[in-house]
Amino acid sequence: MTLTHATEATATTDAPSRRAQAFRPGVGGWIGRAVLWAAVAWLVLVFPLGRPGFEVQIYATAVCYGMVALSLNVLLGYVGQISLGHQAFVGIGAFTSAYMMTVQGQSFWVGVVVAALVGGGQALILGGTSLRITGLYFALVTLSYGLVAEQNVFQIQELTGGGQGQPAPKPDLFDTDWRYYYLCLGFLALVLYVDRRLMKSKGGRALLALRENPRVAATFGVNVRIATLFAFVVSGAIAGLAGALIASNDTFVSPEVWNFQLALVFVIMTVVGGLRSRAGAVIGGAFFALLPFLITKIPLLLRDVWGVRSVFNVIAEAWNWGSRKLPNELTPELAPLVLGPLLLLLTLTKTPGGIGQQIRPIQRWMFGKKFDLHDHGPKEVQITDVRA
Amino acid sequence: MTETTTTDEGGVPDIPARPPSRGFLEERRDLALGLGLALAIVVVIVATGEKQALVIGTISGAAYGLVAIGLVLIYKSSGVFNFAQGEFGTVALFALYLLHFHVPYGIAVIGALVVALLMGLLVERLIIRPLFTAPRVILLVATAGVALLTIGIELWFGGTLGKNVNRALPELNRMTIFGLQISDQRLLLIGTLAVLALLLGLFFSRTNLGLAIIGASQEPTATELVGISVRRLSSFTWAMSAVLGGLAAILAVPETGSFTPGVMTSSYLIPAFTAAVLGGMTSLPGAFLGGVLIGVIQSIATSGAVFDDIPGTPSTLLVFIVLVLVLVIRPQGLLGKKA
Amino acid sequence: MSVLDAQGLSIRFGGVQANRDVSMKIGEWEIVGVIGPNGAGKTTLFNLITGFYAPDSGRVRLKGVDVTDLPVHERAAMGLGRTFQNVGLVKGATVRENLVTAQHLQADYATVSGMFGIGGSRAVERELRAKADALLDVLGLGDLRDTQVAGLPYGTLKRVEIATVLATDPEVLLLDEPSSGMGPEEAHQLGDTLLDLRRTFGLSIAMIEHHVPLVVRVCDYVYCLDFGELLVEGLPDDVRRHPQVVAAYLGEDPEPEVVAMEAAPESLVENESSGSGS
Repeated sequence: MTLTHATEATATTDAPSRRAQAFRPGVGGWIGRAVLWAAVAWLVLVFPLGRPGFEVQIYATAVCYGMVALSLNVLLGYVGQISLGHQAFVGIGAFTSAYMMTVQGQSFWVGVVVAALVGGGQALILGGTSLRITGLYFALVTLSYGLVAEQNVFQIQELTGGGQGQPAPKPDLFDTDWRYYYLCLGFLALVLYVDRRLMKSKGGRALLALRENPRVAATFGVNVRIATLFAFVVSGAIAGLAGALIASNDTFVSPEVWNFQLALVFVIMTVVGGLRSRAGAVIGGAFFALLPFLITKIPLLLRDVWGVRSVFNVIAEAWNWGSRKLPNELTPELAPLVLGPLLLLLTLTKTPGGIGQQIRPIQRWMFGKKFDLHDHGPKEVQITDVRA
Repeated sequence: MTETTTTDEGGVPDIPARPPSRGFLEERRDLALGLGLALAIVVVIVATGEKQALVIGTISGAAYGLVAIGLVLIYKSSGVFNFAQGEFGTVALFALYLLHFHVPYGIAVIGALVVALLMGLLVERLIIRPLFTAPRVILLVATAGVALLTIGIELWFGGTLGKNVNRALPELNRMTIFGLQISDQRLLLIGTLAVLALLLGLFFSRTNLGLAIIGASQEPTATELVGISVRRLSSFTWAMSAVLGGLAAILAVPETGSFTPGVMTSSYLIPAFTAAVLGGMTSLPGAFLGGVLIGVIQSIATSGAVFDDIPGTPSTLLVFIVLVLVLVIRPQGLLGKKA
Repeated sequence: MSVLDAQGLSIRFGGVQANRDVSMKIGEWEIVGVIGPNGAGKTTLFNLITGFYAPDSGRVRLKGVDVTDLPVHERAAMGLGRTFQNVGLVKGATVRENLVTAQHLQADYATVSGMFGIGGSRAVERELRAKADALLDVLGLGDLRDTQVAGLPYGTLKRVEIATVLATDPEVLLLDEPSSGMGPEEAHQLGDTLLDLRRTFGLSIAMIEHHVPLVVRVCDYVYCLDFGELLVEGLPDDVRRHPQVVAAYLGEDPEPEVVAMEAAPESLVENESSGSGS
């Protein structure tokens, strides 16, 4: 079709047909959506007010984990590089903030900013040296780095306050559990906003292009190396921020929790949440943070994993396993370790888009589009998902 | 002669990431350089007078080498970084522990290896097969998930207390090198490692099965067309790797005292991976060499006074630095193939 | 003066000499054809020119500047655009998103400003979208603006790809088999489109092509490669009748001489041994 023909054709067939395609919900539709929005708002904003302080602290942790998932999503979802040492970024952020407040006598806000900067700085250094290393090997480097954090950095007495952990007070204005929870929500909203703006601008588009098709992205003028490094720095900064918030939520930071298992839980919650889905990431992170708490709510009977334990008891007694102990309960701490990978494997093999993919029809509906069970979003997360 | 274009399902354009290696002579030259470097490192270590470190390192490095061989095996055959390799070992240890109360040690060992084998098959069937065509990093995450799950189950069923298992051979210190006594068990470990590295190297270059495995990893469709079941090869490879992982654990860990859930992953996996990378992810003898070198580097880190100021465990930092250096300067490792 | 000047490019992959001493020029506003049988090294040549590979020897000059050591994205910034055999698009995005992404270098704001929605980034974004829409309309693809690229038929993808590469605001365009998957009428229309585009956007084009009538109709000059070497170059009609070219292709677009050769196998063998390159 020559250009002249094309312009003539489009001039006549243009506007009316396109306008007719836009969908507008009816009155009932609007009311339904409003109700759902109100319910979500109530759950997030109002519900915690009536709960005891220690429980609200858990909710605040959930919010922070959502932030960690968003941070990891930038790297894993948008760029397709995997970080198996992300607990180092979050942990170092936590210790940095605590250190700034306790040892350097700075305010919470300074601690938060420095933590974010340190997070981004680490990513800059690590990425600067290692990002030309591709996918698999980069994952290995991040894993090794996580170990260095665990066994070297978190042994620095000054940073970690000796064996007791480093205190990390809350800021004056937000010193109750409830107020701090809202502060975390505020930061989460900020991160969500920045994430969204990023993806709507040239930076985010460059990332998505280079994840899927780095050669083509280069022909668009994208400096692949710089763009990847940029994403890593953003990811690191958000992780550092999350760490600082977690620090003050618990009011002190100790080294033991920041281990390899946590790094994996972070990755799992991001993947289960759904790559490239902000809502999914937040839900995934929150879910894993809440999991130990939710487990305690389930009656003992159910926790017995439906008879597995009793079966094991029978076998154990029949064989007389000597000095062996009978299996313990699925304690709340263990729950993420066992359920997490199961969910991960389920997600990878059955629903690659994770939670984000599942809720997408609802999401669309809530933003005024038609409720459509077919996923019009990008096709499978699998094939072009992560670069190797 | 082929034009360097390949079509791809995922829309990845038709340009290979890196041009393939540069020719027969250049490959040989590269290999020679690698060997030369390895030799240079050994000479430097000996020259610094750290002879004891050399011995200790070789011994502990043998364990890393054995785990590394399993890693290289799976990488060579399916391109996957198997993060669960350590846990094949820990599971074998648990099995050994449970069994050795009831049956003679030898039988218990065999039983434990069988358990490891079954676990390998299970992982292959449930996770690797469905994700056969997925990007390799997704598989890495999946195997990491398997590792975490295994650790979780170990903690759940086994509790956190350490358990003791006897070593295979009695504590006879037959050899003495550089003033250090070396037990039979350790000799067994090194001997096993060396023999396995050699056998596997031969296996992959001389036997039909070995070549088929390599072929299947590079051209699965062509392999199927020739009548070889890629699925069966995959099962075989994973079973073999799992057994190797179990063997590594059984030979190495009892020496060190009690073991806890996740021991192989927390103490052996990262050094083993670094060893594999150092040796070259595609080279089995490289895995052996890499293991020994990492062991030596670690023992130097622990004993060398110059590292005393490093907080925590200096060897961890050193291993990390080695990993990054190798990947940045010479990504194919000492004995691996370039690109 | 030529806008693109590739001199003596050679590259070897393992045991294979993919390009040996290949030289090619594109004059201003020329449309140059690159033909040759499969495996002749045509795409490799493009890869060398755009910068995905570094040549073992030879130089590439773009608008008089030696770009041989420059990375891909810097050559793109200088106005070198390229399409791919496999359709170089971001499959997980919509058509319009692809065009907006392609305008990466024209997004005149700092990336960080974009992250916060400040510094005029929103206004620039609106502009980019408008430009994308205009370009799509010009190519008759306006209706597909919000369609996912992944589901589109192959021929449409090729057209979207052309729109996308145009969005990068190129001066020199390298097209890798733009007519593949098209039937004769579509290929004819493509030819019209290319001539129009050259006129409208002032482009200089090189295209790898198998579709001989298209090449003859549209190209000002043709290079024929075989076994990694430049076999013949010249005006389209001369090149396509050249015995060596015919021998290299044997079977494509037969002419009376070729039919006669096929009827007499002995002379065929003679021709091969005397004619084709090594």
